[in-house]
Amino acid sequence: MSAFPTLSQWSWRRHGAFTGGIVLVGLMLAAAALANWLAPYSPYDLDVSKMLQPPSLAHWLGTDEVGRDVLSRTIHAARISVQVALIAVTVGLVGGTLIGLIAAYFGGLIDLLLIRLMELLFSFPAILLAVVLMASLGTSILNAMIAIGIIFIPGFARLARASTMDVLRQQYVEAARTIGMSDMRIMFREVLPNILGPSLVEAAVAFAYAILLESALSFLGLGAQPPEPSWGNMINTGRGFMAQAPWLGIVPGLALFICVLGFNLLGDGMRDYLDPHMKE
Amino acid sequence: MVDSPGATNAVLDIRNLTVTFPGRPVVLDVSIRVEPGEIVAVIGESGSGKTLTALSVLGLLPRQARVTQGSITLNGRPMLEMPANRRRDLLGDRLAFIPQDAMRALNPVLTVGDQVGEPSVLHRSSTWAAARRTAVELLRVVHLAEPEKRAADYPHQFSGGMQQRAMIAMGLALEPELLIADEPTTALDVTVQAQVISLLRDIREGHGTSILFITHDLGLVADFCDRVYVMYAGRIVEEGPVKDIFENPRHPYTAALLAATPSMLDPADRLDAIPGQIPAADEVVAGCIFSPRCAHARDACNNAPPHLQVSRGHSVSCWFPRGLS
Repeated sequence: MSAFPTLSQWSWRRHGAFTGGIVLVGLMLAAAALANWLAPYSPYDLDVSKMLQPPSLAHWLGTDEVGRDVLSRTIHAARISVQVALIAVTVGLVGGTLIGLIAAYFGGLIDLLLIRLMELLFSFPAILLAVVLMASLGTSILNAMIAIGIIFIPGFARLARASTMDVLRQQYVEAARTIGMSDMRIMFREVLPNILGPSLVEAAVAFAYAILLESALSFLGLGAQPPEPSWGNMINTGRGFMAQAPWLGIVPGLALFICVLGFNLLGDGMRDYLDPHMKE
Repeated sequence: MVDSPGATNAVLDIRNLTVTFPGRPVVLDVSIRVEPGEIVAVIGESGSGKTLTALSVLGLLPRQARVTQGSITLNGRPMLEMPANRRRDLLGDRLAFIPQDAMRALNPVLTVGDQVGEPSVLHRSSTWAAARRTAVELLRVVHLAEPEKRAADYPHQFSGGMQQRAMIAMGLALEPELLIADEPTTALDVTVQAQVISLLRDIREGHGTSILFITHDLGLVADFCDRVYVMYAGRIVEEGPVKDIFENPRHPYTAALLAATPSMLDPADRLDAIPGQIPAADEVVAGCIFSPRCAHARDACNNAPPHLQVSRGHSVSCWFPRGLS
């Protein structure tokens, strides 16, 4: 219902955090997309003669325990993180929104069963649930995507259910019935576009969380498998060299930090932007 | 009007309709007929059951409500016995509904053109491109300025009157046999009200569409409708041609309603009020439902009132109709 500001009305000061989020996320996505061109070295090339070198002109962020370029590995790891987060958030967003929509629309027993199932999933700590899922699915990066996606489903379902119940009280849903729309059509044409806003904000925040979870799983050795670079497994390796070569852990750690910060700022900014009540 | 069993050529024929919420009737023994090309008003206060009567025709009663008695036919089609999906095919096609608050009845995230064109897509398998062209034509029919441009607007870019026009355009989309308008002007300014009313009248003239007009505004009824049903607490207390009702109201409630309407001729005149309130739905009133508030109530009113034919097409449910007893 709100009239969105056009680009010329965009206030950089008022949307400062949002802008920061867009920039950080943009950098991250660019790194992921252009990794092959941006990275100065291959992330896999070993050179034991250059192992554990501190940052230098040749290797801006130093080399790791087998002489691989840390900058190149950090850039390539962004690609894995983005892939995992993208697929996981899509699984969570689509699955959760459908479940929440169906639960709220039909109500009664369907609602009760679906919501109980969601609460069951919710009651496990995310990492524990991920580890259990990975243990049963097997360790691979694809399974990590699915496991993280499943973790997200209850959150999106809850959100979609709440927004759907709100939208169902609106008269335009009743009006849609008076022109003979079927339940299916009402759900997808009338309700869905009206509940998508909050879910997309949640998706941006979930994106950050997915990257964090992927790193955690890789740190535990359940996600990306060596020699595939991932911030998680790089930090894990760096942990053992904290005294001799602190950049091994600090660089991927910083990358993770910046990326999560960026998505959180983006999510906050989107919420303010999409919510007419937050406007002056 | 005397009920004659068997086929009639009425567009809408509601007979002895009773709708109950768990344990209590909210619409009781209501019969309403709308002839082809006729504009019929159902008048009543909030809570008199007029909207529920309309929703029973659409088959869209609230979940707890049930039709426990009666029949509804739309050009001979039995609406109550019909399977839900067949009734749904009629909605928006043969039977259109115009809601009270157009602003809230339009989906904020879809363009007006898409919404006005939707019935064509839904019931005529038209393509979206064709539906948008139809929508522009319909918006032109309801006298919206610059329909091509307006069709691409979102509802919040419309004024209240324009939104109501858009709703009417949507209702007209497939040339329905019957248009049910549920207080379509309540949310509008008086001048805009007049425009919407004259639009509805044009539609009747131009397309021969029958209109069931639900309202609490007597002033609108007087120069717009052909016949009137007066509803009170879920019952029809009086029905008749609009002229008879306004000149010779027989039921004390109708008379009191008319007395409570401000007059342009004598603005200094004190308005009469009807004492008391419409009985709560679970309140049991013995005999005539209006008797607790009626200035003329006598002992006989503790029994159910008779249904009296006063003149041709004019009947009343009262023991002591005004001017007759």
